[in-house]
Amino acid sequence: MDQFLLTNKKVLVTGASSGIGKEIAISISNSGAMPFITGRNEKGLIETYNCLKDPARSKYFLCDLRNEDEVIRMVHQIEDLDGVVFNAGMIDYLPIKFLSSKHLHEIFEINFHAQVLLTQKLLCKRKLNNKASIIYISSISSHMGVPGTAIYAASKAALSTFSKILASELAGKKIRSNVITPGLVRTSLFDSVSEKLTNDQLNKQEAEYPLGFGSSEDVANAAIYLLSDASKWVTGTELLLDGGFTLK
Amino acid sequence: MIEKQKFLEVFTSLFDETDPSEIKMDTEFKELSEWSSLVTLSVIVTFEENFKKSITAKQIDSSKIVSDLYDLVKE
Repeated sequence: MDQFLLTNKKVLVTGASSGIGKEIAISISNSGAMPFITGRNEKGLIETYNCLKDPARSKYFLCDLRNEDEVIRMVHQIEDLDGVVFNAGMIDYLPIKFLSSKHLHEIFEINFHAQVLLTQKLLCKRKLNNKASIIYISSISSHMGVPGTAIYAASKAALSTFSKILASELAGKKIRSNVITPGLVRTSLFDSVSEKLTNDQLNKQEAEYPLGFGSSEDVANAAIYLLSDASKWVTGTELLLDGGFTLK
Repeated sequence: MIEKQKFLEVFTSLFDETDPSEIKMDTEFKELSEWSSLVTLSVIVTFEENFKKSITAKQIDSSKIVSDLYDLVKE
């Protein structure tokens, strides 16, 4: 069962100040990994850092992934990695007829451009060890047509496709790239946008999930598997976590 | 203070298929055939842009007539 552990693996987790990113960082530290965590919210980031199993073996980097200078500085300081979880992202509900360049840019900038450019910089500076595992957190919206989610869903779909090409390009070094595609997970990020949904809509949504809404822990468990040597034959794929939603 | 007429114009503009004469301050807006969750989202976004007021879907759900929505943003 050792192949499911992440003993001594150095893993960068983005968006680790709260929610799924925080849970992933803590869970992988409990599995033996050394998380290097990054986020924009210093208070949240330090809270996550203090919850890690052995903080002395980890580091945190306050970094806005949209700021190229901050990203360059972080990549320069970071140790060689055995894994990266690209979790940072934002959600917003906006009907297509209300879209603007500003919205388009804002959502794509953090959900796609920032993740891609960080990937490029890690590769350029050779910060990924051979056999490293890269994970992008996508969303079930990228496969659906939920009104209001056009740009969010498109940005996640872009990330999912990008991961496939990355998997092809890095296969020679045995570096894997995969996507985790969660359904609805109750986090503070979701709570902040759920004000645009009525109680009725939320209850109806939950009823669509045979196993109910997911939790950050569910996503963290999937990340552990994909980061571990147990998934060494898994690359270029999407791991769907949806509580049975797509069965219907 | 936002004028009722201006508010009504903005609200009515959200509907593509409904005759504007059908939408008055005492109209039960959720009974309009065009009403949907997408229109709810559109109301939230439009009120934010035009009146700089954030309202929630729950507040819209709790409102019955157009003037209930006006009360949420008029100040």
